[in-house]
Amino acid sequence: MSDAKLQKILLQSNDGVTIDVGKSPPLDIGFWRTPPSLYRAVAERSVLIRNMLEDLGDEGIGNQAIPIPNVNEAVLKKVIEWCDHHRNDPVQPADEEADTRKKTTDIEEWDQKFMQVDQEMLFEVILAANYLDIKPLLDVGCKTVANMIKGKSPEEIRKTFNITNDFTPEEEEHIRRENEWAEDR
Amino acid sequence: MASPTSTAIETLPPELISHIFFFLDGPAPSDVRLRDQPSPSMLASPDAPLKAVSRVSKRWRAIALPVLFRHILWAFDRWDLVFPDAGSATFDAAGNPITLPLLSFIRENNLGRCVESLTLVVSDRMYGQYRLSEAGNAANGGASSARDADLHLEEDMRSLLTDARARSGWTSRWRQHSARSEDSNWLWELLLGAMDPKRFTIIALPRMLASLLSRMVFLGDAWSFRDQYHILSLDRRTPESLEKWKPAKHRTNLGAGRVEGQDTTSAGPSEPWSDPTKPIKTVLFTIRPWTSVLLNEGSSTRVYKTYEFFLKRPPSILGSLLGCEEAPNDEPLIPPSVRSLSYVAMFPLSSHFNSLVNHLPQLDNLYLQLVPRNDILDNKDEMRNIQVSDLWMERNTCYSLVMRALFGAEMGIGWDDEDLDPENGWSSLKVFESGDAADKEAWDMAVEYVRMSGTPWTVVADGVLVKDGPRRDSEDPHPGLESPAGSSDTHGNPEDDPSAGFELFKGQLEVLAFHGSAELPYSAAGHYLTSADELEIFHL
Repeated sequence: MSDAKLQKILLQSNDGVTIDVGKSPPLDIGFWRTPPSLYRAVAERSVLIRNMLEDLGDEGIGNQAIPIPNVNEAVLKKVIEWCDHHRNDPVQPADEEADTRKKTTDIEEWDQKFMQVDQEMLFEVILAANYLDIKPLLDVGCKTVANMIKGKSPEEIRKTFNITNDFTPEEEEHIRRENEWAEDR
Repeated sequence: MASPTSTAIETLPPELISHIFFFLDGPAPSDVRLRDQPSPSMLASPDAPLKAVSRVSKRWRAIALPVLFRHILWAFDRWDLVFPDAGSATFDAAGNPITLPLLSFIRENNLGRCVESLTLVVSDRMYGQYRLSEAGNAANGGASSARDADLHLEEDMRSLLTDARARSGWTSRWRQHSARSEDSNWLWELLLGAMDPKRFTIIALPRMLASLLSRMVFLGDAWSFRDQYHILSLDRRTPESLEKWKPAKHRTNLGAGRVEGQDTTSAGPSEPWSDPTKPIKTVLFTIRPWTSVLLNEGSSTRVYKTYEFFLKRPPSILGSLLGCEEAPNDEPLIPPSVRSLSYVAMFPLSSHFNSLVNHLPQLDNLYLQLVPRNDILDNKDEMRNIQVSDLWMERNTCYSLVMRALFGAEMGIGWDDEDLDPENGWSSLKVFESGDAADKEAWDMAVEYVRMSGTPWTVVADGVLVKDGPRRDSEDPHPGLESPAGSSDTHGNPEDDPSAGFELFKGQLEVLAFHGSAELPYSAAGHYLTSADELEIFHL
């Protein structure tokens, strides 16, 4: 591990704010470990940033902030908060994830609390996770929305998410009959 | 500089909406319920979030359809096929519709390639009283039961025909149909031409199944079994149990090679004007390289209420599947590409079950489930006039037939039985799996026997015996959970000591798995034991 890894990683949101990923290293890591590698562990939850860091090399990073043009400060801080909490999560092998994710919409307690935000922030986080390529965060966000949909009628879903019904009554009847050709799921 | 517009769900791109829907998706009812008690409404589910989102808006519907229509359920009355509702229906020269509303929908929305499973629930509002043809090769081996509803049926039929005549050209269709035997091959070709499902399932009364497969079915005793729906399911995927147990020698190119061999039989789809006296061969079993077949006959408990129930013969396509009845049922419908068979029935009569034992096809994997998993035994109405001991005696007899065939295949027992087809598949079976709990008494004896005998078998869990084949040579032979004491010295390689005990299961069988073990309400010991000697446990 080179000393370059001790460097802080700076991200710049689309509203021009520079955020230090390693600003407040959590205290719960063992004293024998090297805290600075943590900055990378946090930032590298994002596949986009990890690839960027790899491309730039340790020298390339310098003290420059990496611009994140699609994400504003509030959302970026929220995303970093999540990455920080999950910095030690094992990386899921690509082929297994399809299986394991499918099984459940259960969300661990910390993530549930983390996702207790208004709808705007929820969708911003989903978009940011998608852009930054943070699959587990994207999944948590989408599961949260899925849980908001579960058990609701189409009308209740429209109300929840403020969606306009663009079906005519005849079309509604028609699609109801079409749906009889599909299994109930 | 906050984002200019507020972010709502509608701002998410389709792939993210689709990802959200992905989390609403669970196993389809047909993935998990085909071993339950069959009924026309068995796949209905009150909770259908994907259906709900598909009705929210046009955008959401477009995103949801490919997911929702992975599992198609088409419930129809067979008469609707003959007399389709839509005035716009068009027919080919043989008088068969050239498309169906379902298929038009699939085509319009380009959903054919999404379909993973197709389930047909076929009803018959004429109760099988009327058939499209009087020719001898279709369903109706015995007389259908006399029904009070006969008069109503006459009326229904008349109105159906009048109705049909009211539309132009229907009478000629009727005549064309009458001239032919019942042939559903056009339907299978139409359906499987529009989609490529991995599983194809039909839920229907046995006489309807037989009719759809152009086979006969014995209906003489059908009334004592009531209107019990059956399930026939064909699957192309490797069955779960073979995945789970992974027998050492996987038969290579499961489907390909073998199916080619029988292309000759499947190649010729029925000609539209074939001789009506010639039996029609269904193409359903060879239209795709199916590898698994499931037959679920549901509950037979009602027959136990009748006098001399053991003489009754259930309406079933089992004989047709195995090809062990008189023509046209003398050729097995199950093609050689099929390596796995699941037979589910609730307390089947052992005389009926015996035809499976005697004519088991060549398989890698057999799954049996003969005891209900629902609470029917606690249902006072269902159990009225039934001697519960009768149910368990039949169950015990069925399992003793299986054990005799399984063990006999290895030890040469029972091959003098003239009913037993010498070509049957017991000796090549690799995985035997039962969805029922093993009879505790018999299981304990088997475990004790395995422990004592030095056979290369290990008890790996309650109800599960696994042969230590070559695939385990590199590993430590793990001692059985049930027999920790006997592990080291009784677990020796049989080659070291050929005289050690009985060399049980020397054939292909590698896994014998029960769903745990349990005390049965009625002892089956008499079926297994003829002597106190342990070595005689399996001698019948």
